[in-house]
Amino acid sequence: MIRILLADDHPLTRSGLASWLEKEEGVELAALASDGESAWQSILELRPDLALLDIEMPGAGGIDIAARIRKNGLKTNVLMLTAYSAHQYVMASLRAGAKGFILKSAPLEELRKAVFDTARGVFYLDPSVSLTGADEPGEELSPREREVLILAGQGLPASEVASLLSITERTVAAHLTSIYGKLGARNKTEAILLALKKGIVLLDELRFLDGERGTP
Amino acid sequence: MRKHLLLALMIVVTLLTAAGFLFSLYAFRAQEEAMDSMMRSYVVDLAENFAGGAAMGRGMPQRHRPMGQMRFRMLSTDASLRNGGAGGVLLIGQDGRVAAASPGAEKLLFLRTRAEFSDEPEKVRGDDGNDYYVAKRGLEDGSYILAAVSRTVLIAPLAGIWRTWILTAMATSAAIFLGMILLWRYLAVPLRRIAERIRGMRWGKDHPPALYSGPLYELESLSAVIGTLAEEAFAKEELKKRYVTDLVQAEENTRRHLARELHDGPLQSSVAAIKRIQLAKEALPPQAGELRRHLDTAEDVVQTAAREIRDYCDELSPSWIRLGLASAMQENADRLSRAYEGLVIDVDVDEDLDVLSEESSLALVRIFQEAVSNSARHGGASSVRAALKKEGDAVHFTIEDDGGGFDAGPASGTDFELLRTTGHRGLANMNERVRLLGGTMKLESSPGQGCRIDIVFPLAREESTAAPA
Repeated sequence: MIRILLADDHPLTRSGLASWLEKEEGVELAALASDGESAWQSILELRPDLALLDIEMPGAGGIDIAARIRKNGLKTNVLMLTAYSAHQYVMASLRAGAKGFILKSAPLEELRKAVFDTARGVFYLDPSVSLTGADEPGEELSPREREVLILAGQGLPASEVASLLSITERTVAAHLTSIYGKLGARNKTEAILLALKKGIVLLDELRFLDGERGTP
Repeated sequence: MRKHLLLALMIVVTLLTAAGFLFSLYAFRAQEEAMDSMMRSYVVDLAENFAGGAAMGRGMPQRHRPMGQMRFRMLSTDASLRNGGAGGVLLIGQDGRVAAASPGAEKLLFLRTRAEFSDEPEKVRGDDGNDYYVAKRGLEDGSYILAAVSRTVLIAPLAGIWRTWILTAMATSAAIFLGMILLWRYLAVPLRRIAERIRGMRWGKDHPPALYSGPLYELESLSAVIGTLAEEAFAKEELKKRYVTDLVQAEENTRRHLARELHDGPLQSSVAAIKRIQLAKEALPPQAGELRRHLDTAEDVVQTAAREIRDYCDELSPSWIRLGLASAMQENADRLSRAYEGLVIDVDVDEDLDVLSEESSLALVRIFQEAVSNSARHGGASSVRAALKKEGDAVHFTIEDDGGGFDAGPASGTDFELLRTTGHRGLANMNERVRLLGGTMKLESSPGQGCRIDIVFPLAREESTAAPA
């Protein structure tokens, strides 16, 4: 049984999601919250397995709460819930330690998948977060390319990636271009999201957790 | 020519004055010489007259008479000479003693003690402080006549008037000369300086400089009046700018408000409706085929509505602005490269700049949107590079494209008012947003050379002191 906390400041959305969670097999709605701070209190008291957090809430938003969960070493996984599909929302959520990202309007099957995946700590990304190369299988990355992508994915600038791998910045740029081509991505963010989605790179490998790049 | 008219006039007056002064000086000297020679011949005449009279026994003193009772009669038109005030005559005997004297000639006795006189008249300073012209004439018996006349008294009125006149002329010349110098120093020079400063001022753009500080009340009021006018022009210009700024700000506020309303109202309702439709579908028995189709259509319709509302919200006031500048610029670039198919956009943002306020971030995003739109639509660029760097307390924002460029001409530099009036509203609006940030914007472009925009603005106090996120 997955114990879930749901936090959303909009009553209609909250009650809609809640009534689904209440009926769903294998999940238990442990608490409801209408803002970030009360969500945080519930998480501290109830230690749910999964927190479904709205990104935009009055006071502390979902990203803040996710960061607090990570900072306090809680075992609660986070599935970010949002009305917007901006790539940087996804990146910010992942950096804050969230395991998944889903749109509020997603079909119930996707929601179900997202809940069960992220509760197990598996990365989930809403299909409607548009990624150009999402539907193609893509080519396999070389080990070096994976390294470059992982380091770049941690938010390091090209100069630092280069010095960590003892290669030149020019070579880093060349690797990135090759990675984009293989994955069908147009930029770094897309490349990282595609690699995560296709399982080429695991969420834990990105170690956003170290907080080199703080939460926004 | 007119530029130097005042100077020329002053030089003419000064030269004339100097000429007058020199002429007066010359006249003074000439007069002195004339007086001198006149006095000499006068005293020689006097001595000779007495010498001649003595030879003929006329007016000769009686030898046995004691000194003091023997008198010459002074034959002169000058009363002061007649009663001895301005000189006199002495008859010095063979024994060197005074044999006779004219009335009041006692004060001339000192002449005896002086060195020998020659036949030439001499000028001697008397005990009474007067200058005396002295002439000596010997008589046959070895005695001699000494005649002395004080020049100051002799023809005093005439000499006095003449001399006073010349001195007055000289003093006047000197005064005019001094006046010219003062006039130049305190009027012409400050006037020129005021003109110079006004010329160097950008009317309406600069605060007026200090125009004049000095003793002249008139110049002070003149510069005060000019200062007031300039200050008013400045205020007017500021008001105009502020009006535009207010417009931009009001527009941004309205957009944000609308986005918020759409997000909180219609979007949330749509999402809730979608959820309910989805739940209803779940609850349907498997055989309810037609009902399921209706519900599918309903969900599609509401999904479309939700998507449209989201797009509106993003366009009105993107929520991802709250993620900080670096993320926001990246998101912005992603979206722009999707919107302008085939355009490569590269943004490089200093992480330190995440301390920028939401308003500043939004302004930068809008500026970049405008710039990319220009590059893609007018320049036909295939790539745009942007960098946001923190340098000290300032932020440098550069945007470069590889497009066709255009003749920036009068637009280069910072005069974007012209752009607004010549149809380049986009650039003018960018400049307005830059101004809102308290910064400046420079545009460089020429045909075939792409376009480069340089923006520099200061970090606001709270932004530059905020701890890095």
